[in-house]
Amino acid sequence: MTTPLTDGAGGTSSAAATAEIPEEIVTVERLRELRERVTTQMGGPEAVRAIHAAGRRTAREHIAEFVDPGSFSEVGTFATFVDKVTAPDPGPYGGGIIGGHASLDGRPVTVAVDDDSVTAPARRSTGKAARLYQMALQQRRPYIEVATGDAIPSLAARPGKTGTPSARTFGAEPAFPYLLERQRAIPVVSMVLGDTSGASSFSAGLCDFLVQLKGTSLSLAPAAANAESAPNGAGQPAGEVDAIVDSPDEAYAAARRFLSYLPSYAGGPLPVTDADVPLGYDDQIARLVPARRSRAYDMKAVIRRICDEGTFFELKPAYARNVVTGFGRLAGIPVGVLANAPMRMAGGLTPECCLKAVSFVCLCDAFGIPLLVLQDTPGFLVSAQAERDRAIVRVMTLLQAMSLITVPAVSVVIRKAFGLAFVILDGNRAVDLSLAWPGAEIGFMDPPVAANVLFEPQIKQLPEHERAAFLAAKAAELGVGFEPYGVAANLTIDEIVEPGETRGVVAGYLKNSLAARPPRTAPSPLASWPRWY
Amino acid sequence: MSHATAKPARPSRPTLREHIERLADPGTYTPAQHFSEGMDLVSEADGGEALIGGRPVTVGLSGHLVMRALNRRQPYVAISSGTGGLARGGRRNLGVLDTVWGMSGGPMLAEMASRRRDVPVVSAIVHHSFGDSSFFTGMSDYVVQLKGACMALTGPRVLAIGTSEQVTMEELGGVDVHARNGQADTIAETLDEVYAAIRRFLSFLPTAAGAPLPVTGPGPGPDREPEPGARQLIDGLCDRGSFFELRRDFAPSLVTGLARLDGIPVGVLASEPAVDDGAFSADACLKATRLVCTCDAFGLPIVFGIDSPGPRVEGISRAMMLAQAIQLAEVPKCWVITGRAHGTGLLVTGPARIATDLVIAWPGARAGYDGAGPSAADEEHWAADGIVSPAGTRAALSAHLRAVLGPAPVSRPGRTLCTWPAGF
Repeated sequence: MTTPLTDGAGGTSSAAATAEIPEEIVTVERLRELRERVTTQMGGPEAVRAIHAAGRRTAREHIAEFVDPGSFSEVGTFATFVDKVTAPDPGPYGGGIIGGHASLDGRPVTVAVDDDSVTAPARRSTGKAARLYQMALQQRRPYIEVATGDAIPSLAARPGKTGTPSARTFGAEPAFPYLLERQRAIPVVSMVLGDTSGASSFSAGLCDFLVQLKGTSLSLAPAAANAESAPNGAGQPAGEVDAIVDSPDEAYAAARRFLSYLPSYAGGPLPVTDADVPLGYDDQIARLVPARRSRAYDMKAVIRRICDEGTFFELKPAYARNVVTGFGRLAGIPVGVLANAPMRMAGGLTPECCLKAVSFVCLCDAFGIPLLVLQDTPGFLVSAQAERDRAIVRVMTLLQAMSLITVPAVSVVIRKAFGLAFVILDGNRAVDLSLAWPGAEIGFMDPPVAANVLFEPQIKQLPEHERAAFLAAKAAELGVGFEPYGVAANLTIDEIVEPGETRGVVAGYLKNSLAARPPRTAPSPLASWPRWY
Repeated sequence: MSHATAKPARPSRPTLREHIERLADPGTYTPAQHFSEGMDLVSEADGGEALIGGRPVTVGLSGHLVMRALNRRQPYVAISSGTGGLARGGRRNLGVLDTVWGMSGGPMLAEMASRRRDVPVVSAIVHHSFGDSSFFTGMSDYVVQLKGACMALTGPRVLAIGTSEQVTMEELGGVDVHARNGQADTIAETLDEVYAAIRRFLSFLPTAAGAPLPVTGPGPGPDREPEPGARQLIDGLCDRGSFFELRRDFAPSLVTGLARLDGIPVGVLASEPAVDDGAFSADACLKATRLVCTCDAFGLPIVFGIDSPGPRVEGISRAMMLAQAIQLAEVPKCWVITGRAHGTGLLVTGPARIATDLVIAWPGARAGYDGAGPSAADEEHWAADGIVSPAGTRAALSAHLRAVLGPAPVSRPGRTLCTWPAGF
């Protein structure tokens, strides 16, 4: 345990008594000495050694590796525990959380990292995370919390079973209520780099970007007390995790990348990069999409060509892969891309897809990031299983979210768009600009299915061998009406664009639309929606 | 809107008019007459106005006339039409693409999707329901489904053609399906039960957000003392027979519903220790969140009964969603800690509690994470406003609610949760 600060008080007077060294130098030296001891010893030299022996980093090392070199300015170095229930003895310094201000790619951020050199319950008992969060909020900069898990098994144990703070201390985490009502005023990133539970896990359920190290667990109660909870980094990918990574360095990179698309605070200027990128005709993109309606293709390849080169950053890539969500840039402007993925179940939408889409739309809208929707879907996948999985509520929640968007939004029908899926993905007419490629089919239902449903009586009267031909003919008849010229005629689609000019048209629209938009004065309603439901 | 009629498929099936006449106060139904709604002309085939419990409502077929109800700021009841969207738009003008919009009830859904719960909206699934009328349930404050009626995005026929899946109406969207997944708040055995349930649900709510709370005179008190156990607790706290349970068979470790406490309408949520130890599963978090949002949108105080080991969910976000909803709710909230309140910070707000909140604990109640937390007797560690005996709990709640609501309670809706999804 570190020597308490008060123990050194005598040093000042004895130094003054010798009168050899000016007092201010003595006090500065004493600070230096203490700071040196506090920052290197942390929870104790043995604890630090154990962390290193386990091949891990201390909290301060995490920060040093993560932020811009030399940019870290610590806050609360000398904080110690105040909760007599949790930690009857004061110290060690740091208060269980190491944090402060720094810059990431030159932009200011605030970080708070669990100090795993002290006992688990002690980490959240000083209110330091709350202080850091409030500073970030006040200075309108992103807040990043890192849960390290437990490097040392003996420190993970809860001392004396008394460690459970009461209702009064609000479940051990004073930052919690602030996070609960934060309504996404500033970006919050949560990195889970070790098995995480309890107070350290709260921000993971309330953040904008959750990155988790593969093989770690994330749950409210410690895994031992909560056997049912599967380590979601290792097993089935859980939709609530945005990025699953193989190393802490990858986690840092993911967080850095994520934040590069976001403003420093909701309503703040978007981080537009140098817009000197080609926007001319793309004579390659049309080849990526097969004309034959049943043929699958890689929508991500289309996204990459529409976005500035190398800018597409996918979120939740392993979850509900029938939809793709991620950030990109168009002429340097950050955009959120929501697209159907025909590679997977023809791009049909399941209840999980709706959840993934809602979560993404809320994120974009909260931070004023324009939305680009790329449609190619036969519709919502209907099945008894989907109905059991609350398809109705999931689908309608997506409709609600799309109807409430406040950001500039552009939708492009790449190939297929039918019925309610079209209505919803077109933002229920809430998108600013609704485009279609010339080969798009837009109608109330996939024509072969529609022909079957509409002409059932006639089909029944036909001999078996004539039915297929009749159906094909009827589907083709319906298909003619589904060409985009029909919807363009009544302005359901604003314009039919060539695949090759899509990038230029969307970029041009976004530039103008951002320039014309007055700064936001109230948060978007979607900013208060839960990150996952 | 379209001019679809509620043509009965079988002679015994009630028409829309018959439904409304049986649902509403006798002799109060006035069908809509050639009223212009948007670009369409509506007619009596679409529905009309009536009184329920002496208060005005609009009743329409599958969401028809909903804009009228929103404009008039009175509750809206949708009766399922028994047809999918195809009959509304799909058969007309085939191939003309406004059918996409028309079929999916575009304007109606747009209005509903961006509403801020100004008025209570109810969906009654009394016929097989696909398309519009099913979509509508996903944005309704209350859904009642009649046994034998199917509620699904699309029907078995389209499923068989489109996906080759062969299912019966019951398997696809029967009452068993939606009782278990929580998409129906009430399952009714008969049509009369459907009407009674709608009347009952609406009786607890103001006619619109901001209107007076429907407080009744002091009703008969409970005929028992509150005991641990969700329903025993609720019956022991609320006016006799007033508890109206919602989503009974969904996430049964939590019991939710509406009730009256000394005449004041309240939302009630109580953990049920007999099921999964009373833990909050992911589904229980969804169940609770829906009711918290509804109460906040319509200004109903909320009473929580807690004897629970806390959330037990995979991952973390669904528990946080509930914590967020509780935190953001601005209506008076009361907690009765009857046993364990573990995971306390999530379920019982602490420092951010607003002045209209109340936390009382029974003697012997314990708070903390793992069962080892301090008992209620160790008051220093408690956020509880007081330790109250089971017998005195009702009086304490009633006194608190009377005090914070004032003599003529008006529903004071919160500002945030009314924009949250209606369905969870």
